[in-house]
Amino acid sequence: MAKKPTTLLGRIYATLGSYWLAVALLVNLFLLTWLGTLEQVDKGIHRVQEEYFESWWVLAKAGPVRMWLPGGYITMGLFTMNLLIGGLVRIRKTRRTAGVIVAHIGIALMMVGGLIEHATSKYGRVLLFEGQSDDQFEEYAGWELVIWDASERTGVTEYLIPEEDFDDLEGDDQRRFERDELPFDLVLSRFFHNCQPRRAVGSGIPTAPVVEDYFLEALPREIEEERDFRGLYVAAVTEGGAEVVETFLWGRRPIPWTVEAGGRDWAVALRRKVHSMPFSLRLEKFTKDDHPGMTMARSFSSDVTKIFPDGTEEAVHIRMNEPLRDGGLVVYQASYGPPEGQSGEPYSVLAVSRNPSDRMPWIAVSVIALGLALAMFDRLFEFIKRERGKRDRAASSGSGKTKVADAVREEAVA
Amino acid sequence: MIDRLIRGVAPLVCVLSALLLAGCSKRPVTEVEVEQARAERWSDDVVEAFAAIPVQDRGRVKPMGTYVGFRMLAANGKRKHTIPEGTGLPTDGERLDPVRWALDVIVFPEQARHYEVFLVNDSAVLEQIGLSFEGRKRRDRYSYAQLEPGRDELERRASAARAKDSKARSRIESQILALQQALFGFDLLRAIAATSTISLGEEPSGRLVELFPEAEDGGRVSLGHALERWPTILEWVQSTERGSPEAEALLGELAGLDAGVSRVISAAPFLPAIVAPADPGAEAWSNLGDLALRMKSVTGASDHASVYDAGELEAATVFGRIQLSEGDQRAAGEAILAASESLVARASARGDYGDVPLEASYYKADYFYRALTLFLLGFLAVVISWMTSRFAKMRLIGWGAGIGGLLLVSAGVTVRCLLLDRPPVATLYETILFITAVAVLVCFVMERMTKHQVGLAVGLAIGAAGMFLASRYELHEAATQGDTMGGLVAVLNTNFWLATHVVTVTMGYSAGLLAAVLGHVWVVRRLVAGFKARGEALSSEQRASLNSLGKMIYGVICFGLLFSVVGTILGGVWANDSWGRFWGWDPKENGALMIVLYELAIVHARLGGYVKHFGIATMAVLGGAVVAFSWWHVNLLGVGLHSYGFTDGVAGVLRSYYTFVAVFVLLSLVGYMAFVRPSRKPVVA
Repeated sequence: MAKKPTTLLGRIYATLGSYWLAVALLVNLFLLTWLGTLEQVDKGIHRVQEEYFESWWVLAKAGPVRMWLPGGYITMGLFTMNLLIGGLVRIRKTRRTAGVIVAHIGIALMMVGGLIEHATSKYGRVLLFEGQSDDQFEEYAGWELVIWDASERTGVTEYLIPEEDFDDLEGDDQRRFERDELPFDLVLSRFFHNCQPRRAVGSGIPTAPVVEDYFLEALPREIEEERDFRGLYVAAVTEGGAEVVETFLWGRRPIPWTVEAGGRDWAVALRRKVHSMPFSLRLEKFTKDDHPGMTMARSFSSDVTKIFPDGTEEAVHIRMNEPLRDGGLVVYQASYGPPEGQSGEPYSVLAVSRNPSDRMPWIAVSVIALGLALAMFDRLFEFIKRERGKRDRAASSGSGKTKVADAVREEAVA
Repeated sequence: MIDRLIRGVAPLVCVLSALLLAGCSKRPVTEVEVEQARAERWSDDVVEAFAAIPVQDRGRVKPMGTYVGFRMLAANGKRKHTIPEGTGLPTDGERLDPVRWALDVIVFPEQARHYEVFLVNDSAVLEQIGLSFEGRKRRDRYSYAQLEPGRDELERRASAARAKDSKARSRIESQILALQQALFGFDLLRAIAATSTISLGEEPSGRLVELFPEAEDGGRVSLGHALERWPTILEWVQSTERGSPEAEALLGELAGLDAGVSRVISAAPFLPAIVAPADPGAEAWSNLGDLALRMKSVTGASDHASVYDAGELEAATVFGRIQLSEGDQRAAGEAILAASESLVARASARGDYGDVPLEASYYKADYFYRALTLFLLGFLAVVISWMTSRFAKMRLIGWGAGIGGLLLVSAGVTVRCLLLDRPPVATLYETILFITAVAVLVCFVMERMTKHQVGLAVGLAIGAAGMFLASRYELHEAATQGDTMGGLVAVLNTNFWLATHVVTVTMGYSAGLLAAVLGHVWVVRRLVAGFKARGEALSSEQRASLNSLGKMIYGVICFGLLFSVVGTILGGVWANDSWGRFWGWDPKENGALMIVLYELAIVHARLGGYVKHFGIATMAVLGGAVVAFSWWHVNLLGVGLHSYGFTDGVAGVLRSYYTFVAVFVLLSLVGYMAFVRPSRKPVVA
């Protein structure tokens, strides 16, 4: 029997690698997954993902009951330690445990892949009509405030403020952003996760400052995150604070707000985060292939031309389950339009991801499968051998009944 | 010990079976008056010829037998109807399969209107549409003729129900919609033949009769002839000046024909496509309505040949002869044989007919119903074998029936793979078949290894339950999809992932459910043994048996874990390839992850010594609910990208199952405290 640790550190180490912690974490992760899945009906996938899995703690809803549970960060953090200490370091290294150790290595690889993905990956989409090209993709959920010199026609430099820098501005909170290259500062306030402009006249008491007869009205968050449109109040402070111009920005407004400062026109807009691709994509043709006699697609695909900065072109066919992989990006056939029954120009929606750990799941699944198969077949052969032995002994004793002596060797029931 | 334990259950099973059979009672029969009744049975060659007519429906070419089979299943809840004795029809007592029923609907609609084949699950539906019938059960079957007086109200209420979100509909509203669809299905079958002919009007003009000499007797002409000679009619129209008295007179002369063509065109969106295209590159077939619709683009004899090919018109013409037979059974039979030959030849010429005979044989073989029968028979035999050692040989019947049932399920699944040209699992219906087959196979292998009689009995019970569930879900699919082999959404059209991820993860479901069933058996046996022992320790024989079964449960959980882990991660890899992310917290993904986490928790709890056999068995019982959540419940949430399955009506069944599991586990814990804990005291040597 293993010695019980006597020091505090030893006890912590033993606890972190213990079975009970593994069981507790697995049960907690099970509860997070189960309750989170049920709550998706009301909150949508993205919000539940944030609340349950990208959090330290979560107030989970179990029917009429609410309870605090450790969130994804705590659970996965402890889980990683438990796996490393209990599943790889402290575990007995014998032939019997070889499969389990291999499976644990596979899980560790998958978790590493997940961590890399969480920290570095970017997901988005590019929507193209036939003949149209683009070298950027926009995120589904992330937003940013962008400032550029509208007087410039070429070589435009964009100054970005990511959403994370202002999404905590509630009520009268405000934050000032300044940059040497810009002849003005921006003061941001009143961030709305989802909102719409509303005319002040006839709307009762406005809930936010009125700008040119309109104010931003908060809306409940949509179940589908993509349908939320951010809003923000912004003031440009020029000439050392002598002049202040105010407005609000709304994510759905296609025209940027312009500020005149330093003798130039500056554009300011709130938009979904965009990322550059190392090539441009031009949609040549979108094809929706329906099941015969039906309007249900059995496949849809895009014939695109990949255009590199040096002008070289390459024709690519992208279809469901057959993405384009190049330059660290993967481009998938995600959707199309216009929706069934609506008229209009056909367009293709291509999902784009930049995920350095893209191939890690393949490696992890292979290792885990190997480990589990080793462990399971080892037990199976042992079981068969034991059962066969029992039968042989029973047969040799001349009695159809199992010998008491054999049964005594069995473990206690319950 | 097992024999003693289950000996008490065996008589109960037999008594229940007897009660079930006794529950089938005769229902009142009313005499019907039909002007044109079928005089004799349909000959087999006519039935086979009609069943073999190829139809393109729901994205694939299938036999007419399949098409009408699902129509009958949707309306009647089963693929058979027996004309009761006492209706006064010449064919009283005849048992009708879907093809014979459809032939009657098409050729003898007046007779078919009186077949009580429309299942109404709740008489409240009838009350809502202003109908009431004496001496009927709450759930009963009615004829088209009986329901017809309430048709207007039914249509009105169905429209209102359809306008609602499916989740907001009441049970009765859903049933109103189902009944409306069933009656519409009957109309549609009638329309298949009815749209193949057109009336020339009440008093056709001389030149019309001259143009259509076939219509001399009844004033009706086949659609094929009408389309063939349409350029002549166009010439008549073009020879008159628009607005002139001659033109007005011509419009009156052609009014009947025009109305007939319009009627056929209006049915185009609903009719099954029976005419294969001549163009080898084209995939979509035409129905008679589509053919009539194309007539609009004909401007004269010059372009007629480019709009229609001769084969299409011939097909429409021969099909029209079925309707023109007007109740002459022999003429109708000959027309059906000719139509079948023509349509089959046309489909064969372009290679679209290849799988139709195989599919016809698939439904004829009725693999899954026969497997259900065998599993039930085998289970009954095993139960009888438990009663007394004199019946021990009955176990061999159990083995035979079980292996026969498993072979039938496997054959059925294999034929489906051949027909659909894809791996065995892609729809919810197919998961039932596959999960059952895997669970039964694992049970039989376990039985072979352990010879505890538990694996055999559980395998047979799972086989029967699985086939029953499949038949119920097929009924559901009949009402909502009209097929169980319909086209797949684009993302599922990949044989590699269907063969790897879907098959693997489904095997994980199968193992989880099997562990749950074995868990129930273990807990019941342990509690009964504990109750009988009255606080004393179990005999070593009992302990050995329970230990062995407990290990079996744990082994099945490990087996399930292997497939669930690999299947879930493969699903992530597929999602990575298709949607651009490995994991999206989609409900279906989460469901699979829950099974993995749950089984991992069991494994670690056992390794840590926190649970032994009782704990593992109880957790396995709960695991059944976890699998049910992952398999079915997530489809009800209406969230995510995996909404492939149509699961209306499943929620109630799931709730009942969850409640059962909760109550079972609660009682198990109470039983544990009462009967199991005392046995922990040390055995006195």
